[in-house]
Amino acid sequence: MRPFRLDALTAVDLAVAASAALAAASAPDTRVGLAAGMAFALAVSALVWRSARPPTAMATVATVAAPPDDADTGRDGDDETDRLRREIRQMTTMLDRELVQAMGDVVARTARMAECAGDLKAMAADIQHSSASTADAVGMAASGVTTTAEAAGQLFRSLEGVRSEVRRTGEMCRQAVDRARAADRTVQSLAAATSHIGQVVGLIGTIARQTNMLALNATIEAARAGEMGKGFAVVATEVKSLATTTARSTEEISRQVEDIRAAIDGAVGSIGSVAEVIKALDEIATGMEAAMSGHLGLVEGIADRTRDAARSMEEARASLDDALAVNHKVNGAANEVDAEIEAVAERVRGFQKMTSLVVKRGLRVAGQEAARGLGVDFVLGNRRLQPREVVAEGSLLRLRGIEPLAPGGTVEIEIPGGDRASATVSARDGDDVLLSIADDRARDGVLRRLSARGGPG
Amino acid sequence: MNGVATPTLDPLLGETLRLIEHTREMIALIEVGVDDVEIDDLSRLEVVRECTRLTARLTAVLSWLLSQKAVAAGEFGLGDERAFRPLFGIGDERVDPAAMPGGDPAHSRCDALSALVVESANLFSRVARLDRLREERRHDPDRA
Repeated sequence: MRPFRLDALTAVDLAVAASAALAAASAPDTRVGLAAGMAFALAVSALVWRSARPPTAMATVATVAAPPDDADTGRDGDDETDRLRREIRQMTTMLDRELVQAMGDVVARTARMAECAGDLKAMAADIQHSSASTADAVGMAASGVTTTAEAAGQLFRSLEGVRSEVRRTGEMCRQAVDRARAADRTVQSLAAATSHIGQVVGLIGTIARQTNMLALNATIEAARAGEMGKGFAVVATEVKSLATTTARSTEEISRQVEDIRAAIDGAVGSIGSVAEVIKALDEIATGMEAAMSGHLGLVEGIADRTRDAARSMEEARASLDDALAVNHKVNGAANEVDAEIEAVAERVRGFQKMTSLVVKRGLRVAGQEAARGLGVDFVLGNRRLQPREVVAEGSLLRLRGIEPLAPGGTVEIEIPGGDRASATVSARDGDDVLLSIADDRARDGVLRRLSARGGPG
Repeated sequence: MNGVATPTLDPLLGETLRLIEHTREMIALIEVGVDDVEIDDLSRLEVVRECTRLTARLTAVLSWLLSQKAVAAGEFGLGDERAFRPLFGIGDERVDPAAMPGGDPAHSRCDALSALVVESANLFSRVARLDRLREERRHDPDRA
């Protein structure tokens, strides 16, 4: 019975592995699906190894399923056993064929998935490279933008200074305009006076010349008259009078000279004040020129940084385009892997159905075989129990691998030859049920059959 | 006699008359515009002023010399104030040749004026010194 039990367990394990693989294949995580697929492939590979020797497997099943020669099982039991053997053989053959096809398919798709994984790995490397390039470009752009912002801040502060200078220049210009207007008024009045001055100077010159000539001539004549006896006292008095008159003329002319000089000095002062303002404006303009030179340097720096940033951003955009293209390929590869996984999962689901069917049939056959091995049937109500194994434990019978039964329930035991006995469910032990047979003869009969079958008893 | 001696007065009188004639010639030249150089009104007025001042200075010197001649001739008494007043307040301005109007050495007219001014100022200084000596002798006859 042990080899058969192993086969039954193998079928159950396969079904469990297939179920796990199917469930995992449906998982959203592709890597989990791949791992599950690989696990399933390993489990199936073990079965394939076994399936590669179908006659031996079938012989094992047949051998195990066959009742002991000395067992008193009857012809009906033998026919039934043969029918079950044939059925198992057919299903095993189907399962074997299905296994070969499924494994070939799985291996092919796994290889394709490996290729896709390799492609994905290469694409990931491309994406990483593109991302690194993008990061570098973005970093350079960020650095450029930061530098640009600093330069712009410096330019702003410098422009603040220029604005102050311009404001001061405006104030100076207003002063210059005011002073220029005053100077213009002065110069205009001076120009108006100049024409009069020219006339006055001309008149003064004429009068002075005449006065001088008269005085000089008179003086000469007086001197001669004195020499000629007129008397020095007389001519001296006349000459003194001429000198006094001439001296007054000198004073008058001196006043005119001072007046004109004052007027000229006023005009010069007005023009000088305008010149001072213009000089101050020139100094401010010089300062502004220097500041503007600095601004030009800053603006040039900003332009350079902006061009660098734009270039970096362009490189970043190109890298992003590359990354997007690679990402598109990765998505395609991922979709392809998904399709492959779905195909594998579908294949696994089909295989699971087949395995489940085989397992169910195998379990049923195993249960029937176990019961047939004893030559007894366990009936609960109107259905027959199909334990995977029956062993004796003292005066109790342990039925393994059946559905749970409530303690205290009654199970009818049909013994070939028409004998029947009642057993009570004394306890549950996991998937096992312990039966207590009240009738001593019936219990002995069952135990004897177990002992005769060679089981552990 | 506390007056100035005639031998001293006559050369001065001759020098003064010479300068007066030169001054008259110069003023006549200025009038006819022999030196046809354009100068501004202020400078022209300053030239006129210097000419007038020169005339006043030379006239005052001549008046003083004639007064001394009158004293020498006995026409004025030593106590006559008319013999001493002519030079007071006239023609005693300090003369700075560098400050002469025009100032340009290439100006022949201004050069002539400057030369006459300097020469007249020199004459005035000598006459003024004689007048101071005369005054001292008049107030201190023992120094004579």
